[in-house]
Amino acid sequence: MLYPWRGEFTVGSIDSQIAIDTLSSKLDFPPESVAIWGQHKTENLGIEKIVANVVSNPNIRYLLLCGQEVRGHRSGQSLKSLHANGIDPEGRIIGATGAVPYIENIPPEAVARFREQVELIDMIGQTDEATLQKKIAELSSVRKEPFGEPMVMEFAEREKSVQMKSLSGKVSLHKDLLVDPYLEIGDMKMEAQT
Amino acid sequence: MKVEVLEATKSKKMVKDPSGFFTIFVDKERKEIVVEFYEQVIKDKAKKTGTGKLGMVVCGTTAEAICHTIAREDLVSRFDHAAYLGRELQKAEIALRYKLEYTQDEEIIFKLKK
Repeated sequence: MLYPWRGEFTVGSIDSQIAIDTLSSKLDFPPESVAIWGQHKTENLGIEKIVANVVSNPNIRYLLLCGQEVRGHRSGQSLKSLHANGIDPEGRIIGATGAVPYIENIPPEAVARFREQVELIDMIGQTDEATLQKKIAELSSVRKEPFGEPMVMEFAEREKSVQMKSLSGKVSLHKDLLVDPYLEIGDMKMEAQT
Repeated sequence: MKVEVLEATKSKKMVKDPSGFFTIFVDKERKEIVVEFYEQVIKDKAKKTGTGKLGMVVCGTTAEAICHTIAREDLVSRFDHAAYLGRELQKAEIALRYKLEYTQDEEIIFKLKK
């Protein structure tokens, strides 16, 4: 399933090899040229969503980082650090200078896959649409092979915490990587087998 | 009968809800409001900062139904947090219904009719 973790992003062409993170800037792109794009505010949950969605589409081979950096969170710098250095055993993004740069909801395997799958293009601070479109055209002309299969996810029921008195309906239950929080558990199992 | 009349004032300090926190957005494609509930995960005990572990996702088209679901699931433990959620979800519902942009914690920008 493509882009399993819903968010405030726009989906373009499934075949495009470019994903764009616009950080705090609101920018728009030609949907036929870009696979997925959107803003990214936080150095933890926001990065997790990007990673989970990128590894679900092996066609994405470039991640273009642009727009204005997010103050305090330093989400762009944190994503760059994740791509360059990965995470330590506690889930902290190595070298990130954001306030709370921790990976909590996705497994290290997803991070490793993300780092291998995409080449990160650092254009932080750039908001000029003509300049960005030129870069998109340039990246589109250098075709890379898809990165194997979409990442295989494992599903396991998560232990209920004290405050989770009931878990039913449209709920995500996961121990490892989240798949589709909007699928029922039975559907999740079917999804995992396909 | 004497009834005290208070002037409303904003609290200066936000107190975190130990139950967790929420992110709210409008899924324009599926035409619904999506609320993600995260349990607090403290990473820096001294600064009391941390991230969240995704615990539940509630989807719906009205603030009322989402608020009722959140209350039934006992996801909120503070009155001020519940009131905040009510305000944000009502904004999200208005944005969804009238095709406006919604960003959590930001004002909705209404377009005046000419």
